[in-house]
Amino acid sequence: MAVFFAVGATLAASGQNIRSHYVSKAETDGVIYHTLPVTLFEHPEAGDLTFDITYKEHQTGRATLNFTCRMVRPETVDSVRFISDGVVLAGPVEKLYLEPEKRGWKHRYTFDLDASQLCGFFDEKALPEATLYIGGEPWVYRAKRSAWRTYAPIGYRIFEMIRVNEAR
Amino acid sequence: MKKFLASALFAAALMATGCVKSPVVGGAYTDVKDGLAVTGNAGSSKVGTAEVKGYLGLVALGDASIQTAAREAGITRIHHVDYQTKSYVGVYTIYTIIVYGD
Repeated sequence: MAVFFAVGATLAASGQNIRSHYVSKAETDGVIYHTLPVTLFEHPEAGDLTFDITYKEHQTGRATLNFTCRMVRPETVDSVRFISDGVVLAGPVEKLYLEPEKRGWKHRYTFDLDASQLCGFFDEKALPEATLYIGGEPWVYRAKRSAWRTYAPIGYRIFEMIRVNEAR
Repeated sequence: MKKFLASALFAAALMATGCVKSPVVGGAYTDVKDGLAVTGNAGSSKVGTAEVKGYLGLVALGDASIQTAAREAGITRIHHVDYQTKSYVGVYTIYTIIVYGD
């Protein structure tokens, strides 16, 4: 039994490369990349914020960030602002859907951002925040320190790889 | 007798790891991506995912339907569908559906 766990743990540890954190697909007009959903932010009352990012080469240089959060009541989020050590990703959001759950409501929103800022955003040493604006009122989600420090280098490498490939 | 039952349960758990949807299954570790479906729609600019998680080969929870994955990204025209399976000794299994489209 111990051998199985040891093998599993070893293989899992060796799998800590970026390949398991994104998917990509080559198409006629460029490669489309998608980071798998990750939960790096939390709000003391509202809970976790999970997001994923999609980017397609040779388009407008814009990436799409979709995020999920949960609230007690259905709310209309106007805009969002992610800040990481001086790098600001902000803009109005568009609703994908709201859905009632056992406790509260699941909110799914999307917004466009400047993809060139993503390498700078994933700074391991930063402690970023995500702020949702609901009727002008801010809801601040703070980064989970350990999760951020683990994922930030992965996020950086993914978008560095995209930048290098797109520039060839 | 107790040892036999324990061994039988462990064997059953390992066999359950073979139940993950994958063209190739590893008893100790599986991390596989594969294609599932392609449509005649052209190109894709959005990607959505949905997942199911399994624990100990006994409990599995989630919604990995194509519809759910498409809704996560606001996709209304599906281009193609892939999936990804990960399994750690059958103790923890993740099945993710990945939908590309517009």
